[in-house]
Amino acid sequence: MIDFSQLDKTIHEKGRLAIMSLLAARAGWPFQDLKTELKMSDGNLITHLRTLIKIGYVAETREMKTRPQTSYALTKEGRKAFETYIGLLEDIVRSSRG
Amino acid sequence: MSNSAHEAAEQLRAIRALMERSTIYRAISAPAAAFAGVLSLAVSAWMWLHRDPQEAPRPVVFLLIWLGVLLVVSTVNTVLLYRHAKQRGEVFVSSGMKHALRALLPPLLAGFILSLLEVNQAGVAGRNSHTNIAALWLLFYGLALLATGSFSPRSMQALGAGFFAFGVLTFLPSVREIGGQQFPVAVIFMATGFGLLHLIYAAAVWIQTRQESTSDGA
Repeated sequence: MIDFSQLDKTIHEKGRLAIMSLLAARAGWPFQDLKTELKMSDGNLITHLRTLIKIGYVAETREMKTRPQTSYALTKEGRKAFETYIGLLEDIVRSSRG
Repeated sequence: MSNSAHEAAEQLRAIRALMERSTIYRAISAPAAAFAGVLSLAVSAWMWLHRDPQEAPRPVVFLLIWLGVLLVVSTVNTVLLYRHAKQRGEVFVSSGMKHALRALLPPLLAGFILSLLEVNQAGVAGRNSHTNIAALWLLFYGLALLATGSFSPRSMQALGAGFFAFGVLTFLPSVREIGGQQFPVAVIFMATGFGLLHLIYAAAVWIQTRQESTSDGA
């Protein structure tokens, strides 16, 4: 029986799941756009991003445009972990339908 | 459905909504398109009543009238997009909107500048250039909508393709020959494009939304 205990705990947290979902949909999100889209405080967003970077799911890119800009994208490992997470959720739904 | 399956389904729905919201952006709401269609038909009808060469507005007036229509429709569209975003608890100036504006503005600006040049030429040469202005507006509006293709819903891409195809058609000499007089032809072009195509788009989106809400509720 598949259950929630098998899900990746790092991704399963609500804030981090939202970040992963956006990064999976489109690569290269500037910090400000992520903040606006998710309506998170700077501190909260930074904490979640650091956790995801530390585990190797998210990569950070710093660019010097008219002003310094930091963008975030999923790593190969992060994408794989996200797909596994989605696959498990689908399995849970499927198994309940028998 | 068990609790965990229900929770998993909810989770999947939330992820899907979030991903769609960040990748798909509808720059023209269906009610705004319906309003644009009705207003364009009304303006076209008024112009049709004044199609007599003595009564027909000069090209510069023709351009200003349609610019007025564009400003009114853009304002209504902005208000509707703002209300929609607030109702859904989303941000108004989202990354989707920024992307849409970046894609829409260059073709719209190019079309506007070319139509200004056309009006200027008309003034110099005393030429009747209503059809060229209408054709430029149709073509560049279509190009603007097509430029949003990578993140707009299919219905908007279809609207863009419709305007683009019709815009190209309006430049064909054989089509111009059928029309004869310039001003009435330009009015028909605007009524068909900005009137009818917008109404078809609004109806298609409305039907699609109804079908989606019915299947969600089932």
